[in-house]
Amino acid sequence: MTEILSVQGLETQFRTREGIVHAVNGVSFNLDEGETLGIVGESGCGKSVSVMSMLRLIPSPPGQVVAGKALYQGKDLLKMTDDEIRHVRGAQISMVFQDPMTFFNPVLTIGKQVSEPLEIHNGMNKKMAYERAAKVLEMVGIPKAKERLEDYPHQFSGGMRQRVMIAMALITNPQLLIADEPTTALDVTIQAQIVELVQRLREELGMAIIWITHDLGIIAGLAKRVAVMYGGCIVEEAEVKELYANPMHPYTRGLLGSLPRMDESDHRRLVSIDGMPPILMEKPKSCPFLSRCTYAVDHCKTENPALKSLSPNHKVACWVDPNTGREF
Amino acid sequence: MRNKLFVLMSLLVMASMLLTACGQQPATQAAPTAAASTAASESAAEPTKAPEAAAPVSAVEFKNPDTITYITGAGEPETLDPAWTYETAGSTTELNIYEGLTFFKREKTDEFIPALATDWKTSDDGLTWTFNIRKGVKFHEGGTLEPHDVAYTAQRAFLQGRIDGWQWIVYEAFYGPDMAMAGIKDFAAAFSAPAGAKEPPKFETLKPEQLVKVCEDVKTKIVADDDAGTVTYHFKQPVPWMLALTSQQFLGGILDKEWMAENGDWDGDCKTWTKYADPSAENTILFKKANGTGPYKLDHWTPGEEIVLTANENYWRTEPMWEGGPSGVASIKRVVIKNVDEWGTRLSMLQAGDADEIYTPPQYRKELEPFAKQTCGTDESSCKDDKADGFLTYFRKLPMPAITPGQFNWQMNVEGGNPYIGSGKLDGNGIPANFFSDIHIRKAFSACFDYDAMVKDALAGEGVQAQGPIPQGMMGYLKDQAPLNKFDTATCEAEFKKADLDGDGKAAGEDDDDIWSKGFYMQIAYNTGNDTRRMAAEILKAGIESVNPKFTVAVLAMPWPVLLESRRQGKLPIYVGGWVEDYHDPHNWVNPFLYSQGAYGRIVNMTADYKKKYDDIIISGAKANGVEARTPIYESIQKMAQEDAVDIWMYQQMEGFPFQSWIKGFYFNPAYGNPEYGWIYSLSKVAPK
Amino acid sequence: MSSMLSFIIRRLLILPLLLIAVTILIFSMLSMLTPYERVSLYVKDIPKRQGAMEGLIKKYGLDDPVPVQYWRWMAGTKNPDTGEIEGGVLRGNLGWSKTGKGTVWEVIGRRLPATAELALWTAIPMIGIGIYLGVVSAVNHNKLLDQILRVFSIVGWSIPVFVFGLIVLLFFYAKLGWFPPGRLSDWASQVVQSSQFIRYTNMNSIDALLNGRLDIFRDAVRHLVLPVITLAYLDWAYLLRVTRSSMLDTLNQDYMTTARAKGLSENKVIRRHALPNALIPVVTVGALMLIGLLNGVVITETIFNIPGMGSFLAESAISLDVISVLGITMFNCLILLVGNLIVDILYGVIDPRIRLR
Repeated sequence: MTEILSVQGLETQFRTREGIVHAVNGVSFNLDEGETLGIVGESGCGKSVSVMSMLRLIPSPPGQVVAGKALYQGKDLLKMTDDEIRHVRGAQISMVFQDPMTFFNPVLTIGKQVSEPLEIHNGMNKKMAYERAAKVLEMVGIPKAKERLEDYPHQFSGGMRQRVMIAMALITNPQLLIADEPTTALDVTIQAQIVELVQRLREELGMAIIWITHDLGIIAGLAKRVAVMYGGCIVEEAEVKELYANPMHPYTRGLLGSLPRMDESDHRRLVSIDGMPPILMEKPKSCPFLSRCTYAVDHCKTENPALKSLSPNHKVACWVDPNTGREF
Repeated sequence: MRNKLFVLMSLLVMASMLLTACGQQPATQAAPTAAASTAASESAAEPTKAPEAAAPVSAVEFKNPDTITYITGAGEPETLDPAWTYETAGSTTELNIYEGLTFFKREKTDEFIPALATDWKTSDDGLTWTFNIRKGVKFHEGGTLEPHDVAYTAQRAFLQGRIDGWQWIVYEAFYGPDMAMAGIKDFAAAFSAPAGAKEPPKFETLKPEQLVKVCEDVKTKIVADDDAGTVTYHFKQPVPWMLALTSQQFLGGILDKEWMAENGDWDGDCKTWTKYADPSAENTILFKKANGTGPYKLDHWTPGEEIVLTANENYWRTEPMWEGGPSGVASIKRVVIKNVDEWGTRLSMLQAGDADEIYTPPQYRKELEPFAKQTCGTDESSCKDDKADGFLTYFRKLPMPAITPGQFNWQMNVEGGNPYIGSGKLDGNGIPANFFSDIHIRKAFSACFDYDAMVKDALAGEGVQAQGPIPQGMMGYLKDQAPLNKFDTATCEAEFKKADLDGDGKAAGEDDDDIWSKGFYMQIAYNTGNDTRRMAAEILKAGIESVNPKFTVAVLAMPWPVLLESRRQGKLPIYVGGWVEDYHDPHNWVNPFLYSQGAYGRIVNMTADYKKKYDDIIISGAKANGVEARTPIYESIQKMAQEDAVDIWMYQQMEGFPFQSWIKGFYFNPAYGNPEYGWIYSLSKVAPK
Repeated sequence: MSSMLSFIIRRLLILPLLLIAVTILIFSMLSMLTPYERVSLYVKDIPKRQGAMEGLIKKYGLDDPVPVQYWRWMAGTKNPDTGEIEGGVLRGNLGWSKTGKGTVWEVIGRRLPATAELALWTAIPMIGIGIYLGVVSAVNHNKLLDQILRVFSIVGWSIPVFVFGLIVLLFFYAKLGWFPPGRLSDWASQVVQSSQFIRYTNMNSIDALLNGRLDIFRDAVRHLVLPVITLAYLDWAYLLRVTRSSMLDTLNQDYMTTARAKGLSENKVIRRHALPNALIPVVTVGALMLIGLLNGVVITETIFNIPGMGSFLAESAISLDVISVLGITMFNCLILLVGNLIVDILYGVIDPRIRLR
């Protein structure tokens, strides 16, 4: 399997009036061709910012990538020229966003917006691009696609819009599709449809996917590997079955414990994790999860654990073995 | 990249501005043919400049060599119908288009030269005037002048007589002062009143025969004899100012009867004159059209934009009007009159050479002094060289026949309340309605007014204290005598103390219940925006309040309509208002100010004894014949008006007219409706070398 | 688009009712003036004779009851001599304007083109500079260029019109002689009034082009430069701020991220995605400003001696010329109502969300 993406030590900061926010603190992960990686975490943990940083979509006055590499097919995205990275965006790496209502331009037709990447990257003329757009829309399940090219985003329902967004991302046949919480804004039945659609498309087109979500339930069926993020860092990364069966990081444990499960017979109370996620104002010297961790030891106060491999397909960033309650 | 685009755009904008600037008007050829204009603009010829040798700096560009451009700031005419016009903007324009039987000899106001009449004579009793009408004069539209045109003009004007028109002047002349009504309708009503009737009938009730009779009677007063070539006027009493009237629109402004009738105006038929009586300004055919005999024709009047006159190529004058005077076709071929309200804009037009003369109110006259190449008096013979790099010939200190008094209201109207007199009582918070009936009060006020301050502040030094109702330079003015009432707070105080307002026989200085001890409160009003009146009010206030802390004078601004209305009701204690003469004769000064029915005298509302005194002497002055007989009468009126302090005789203003130095031939004649323009026929525009 | 059509028709039907309501309102206000105050329009100086003012009041019927006067204005009067009915708004005659010395319609017809020409030419710098710089400012948010433009904008906003106008007049005209006040030079004025020149619109610049006279066109434009700059600089300052804030708002929208994520250059992102959205409120504001210009701008017209609608209304109001004020106000209302209707339609055209309701 060829590796197409290798992110190493990515650090992103935001200047705010109150100080510098360290949104991403040394994130590293790899991705192979055709592979699906899930990134899971709660709001504010830095999952969206990481991938946006990678593509240099972070607005630059407040935000800035201060360290790290993002090697795509061997070339560092962070060091590319503006022109170069523009050729990557939308052509080789495409994004699907969370809220298809606000992420579509309300005054341009769907046809125009969906066909746009073809015009830009493939130099197609309008007629051909529109034809392709119609085909792609059909592929994602929009009925009467050709007529609907002249419609506007607000004329579609939520689920349909998200399909269109996906079509728009896939029209150039990218190598990597990044989906940033694509189903969060949809209701459950539509969510399932979208997930199913993506699975089908993945089979047909074979692109790699990074799927960002805070919903652990969804990721199980989609991803091969999952990275769990907290406080701007990846705290655990494992193949999905392994993670669910054997969560090693206290946060992961807490997350999984807080999932309502259908196969549970007893009506146990959902365990929630006490405390609030950190503000990330200073670069944490201690473990970001310290304040909420029930397994904390002294070492956790003085040093932020790095991701260590426990086994070939399981990494964790923690000093303590939750099974034993003592340091590794 | 975006910044570059921005810079490029700004450069483009600026470049296009410069391009249009460089495409200036074609040089001195103002010929309005397409070929000439395009050719000239292509050559982009530079306009000739003032001579570099003598004037290195601020040489103003010489433009439009055959056009004189006046920029007025005082508004436009209401109409160009000489029978209707009673304001200076209209009469100035008409002065150049129409002519009368006589005209003023250059700057003289009491010497006359023939115009449309060749000569004239009066009967011994002064009641009949006969004029020989000049032959061979053509109207602008082609008609020929004949005596019946002259008679028609006077009859038409008489019978048109709008309410508040100037016709009272001729009503008075032909029928006596009692018939000097506000308009023809009132005249006709009074004329048709049966003898002994207490009140005249209403005009609407007059029968057709009565109306015809009015017209026919008028026609007996103004008689044309085409065969003899004469026109004869029959007056009720002598009209010493007759030649002034025939030199102005009152008995001038000669029209072409046939052309008027053809174009829809009155044809002279006594059965139809009422149709043309008391029209609105826009409802006579001469509203924006003109057909006269004068040196200029009306090219067009676009209200709100400009009036344009062009030289009459068939003007009848072949002999110079006076020694060295103009003859033949007018030297300046075109006259443009524009109204620009804003002083700054007028000034810039003068500096740019687009204006040949601009209206300059007193407070701005100093601003032009640095530009005066020559400063002059009443004509060019008095010019002295001034600033070498200037570009104006600046005529200064011209004594305008305009007097502004502060008019007392001797018996104020209190019906319905009078806000200007406070409590209306002698209680320190007001003034009684007959406040100014007391001569000492009037003399006190006259002594508490700082005349010099007025002239200096309000007129920027451009004026003199008035002596009385008769202006400097006119018959009746007491030559070499200073005004009787000077600014002197001691006199003011003394006069206040001599007053006796509560009528108890005790002078106020010794009376605890009278004005000096109680004090008073009153209001003086001026119309918003009129700085002159405001300053007069404030100077008076300062003087009065300085002699006694219990005296309070409030100065307030009000909109013109309100001021007008208060004055009409006779409620204003003091009204500061000027008079500009209609025709040049002392009668037209004493009458308005002092006659009980005069325009101003009516509101001054003197007590009965004074009214009789003044009315009698005014009538005697009008009746007297000849300068020797009349002069002492008017001199004594002038003396009386000062001694009685009928009004506060505040100031006589002086004018200043800035002309571009290339305009030659100006002289000041106060009898012209608006002396500012001069008699354009005698002006010329000479390109600087 | 039948809903659009019925929308337009409904608005047009209400128009005359609104106009009449406005006239009743103004007429009532103006009727609070006493006949003596109203007659001062005809009395510019102290009346010389007794009874003059009363006579004038009777003549113009100024002391008739208000509804009678209103009806007279609306329906006209009977000429006692000819028996014909003359005048009346309902018969299309707005009355005689004493201030303008012509029928109100006539005077409007003379003065409106002057104002319209000003408005037309002002649109260019207003839109060109105001909107353009607003976009530039927003795109360079908080950088030096943005700061400079904002300062300029505030300065433009704060200098009084008459100060600015007189300064530019004195400098560019009195000193340099480049851009004169008024509408045309004397020689051009003569040509324009001659029979060789056909007046299509009464706007000198346009007519000059239509007559193929470039020299007159240049002359007309020369005279327009200063008043247009004076008018425009006030307005573009405002438009700049509106554009800037609308643009900033738009630039913060999520779909901008989408556009960038699709690989569009920043330039294309701004032009294709940001501008069409940002300009929607700007276009409507700008259109309304231009329509407002048609009501005339008194101060600018006075300084640059342009006989337009603004000075007409001001002069009429000052001299209490009721007929003129009524006529002009009605006309201005008409313009505003129609203008607003056009802007509403425009809004529907440029914003698809509104259009397809």
